[in-house]
Amino acid sequence: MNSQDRIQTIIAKLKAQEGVRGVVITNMEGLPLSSDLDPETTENVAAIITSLVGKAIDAVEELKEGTLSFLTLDTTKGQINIAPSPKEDLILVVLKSS
Amino acid sequence: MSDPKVFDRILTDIIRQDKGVKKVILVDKTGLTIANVSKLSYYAVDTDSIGAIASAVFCASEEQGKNLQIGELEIVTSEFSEGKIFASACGKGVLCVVTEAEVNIGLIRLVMKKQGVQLAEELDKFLAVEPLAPSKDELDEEDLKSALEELERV
Repeated sequence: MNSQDRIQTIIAKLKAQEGVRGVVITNMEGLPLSSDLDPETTENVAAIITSLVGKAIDAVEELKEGTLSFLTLDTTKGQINIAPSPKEDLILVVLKSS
Repeated sequence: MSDPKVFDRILTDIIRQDKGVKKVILVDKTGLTIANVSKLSYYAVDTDSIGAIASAVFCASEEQGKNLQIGELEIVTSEFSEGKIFASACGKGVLCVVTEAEVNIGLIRLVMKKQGVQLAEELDKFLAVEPLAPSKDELDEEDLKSALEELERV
């Protein structure tokens, strides 16, 4: 199984969870690698979430709180779960409905 | 005609989006600089030449796209070991963004696309030539004929 197939399997698994609206995998430069959303939304999510993750990583580092492992944003529409992996140069974003 | 300060405001908005953005230049498609902003006042670069080259590179890529029939060119990204240069179309102009090597490419692309629309509108207004309406005092055909007759008599 090549890496693209593996990514698609992971996305399909996450998408099968209840309430999941979309899954985006992006690199740390904000370029989307894989997604099940439309191209425009994918580009927006990847760019804005990467920017937020960059700031969160800086904040955690500045506060000497170790490393950032997970971010959750609670919104009126649901939740945005963000799992950054700077080592792998990847960020996994899951959009969930409430 | 639009206020040239509008360009400075939009370019400043772009430079504030990411800490890695060092310079933003707006040029027309002939390579003439219309506006530019820098993050650091001591960032000494020849803005005019950078803008002109960015415009030339963009127009060359655009031509290549036309020859290959692969649609309209949106963004040209040049990656260097210590920085990046982005150039995108904005109506009659080219928006050029100079950044550090470590920058959120996705965000820069997004900002350039969003602000590009606004810049294109402002550029259209800025470069618009007011059509010359014939003034009431202008000579009509009859006047010209009579003047010509008078000249012939002389």
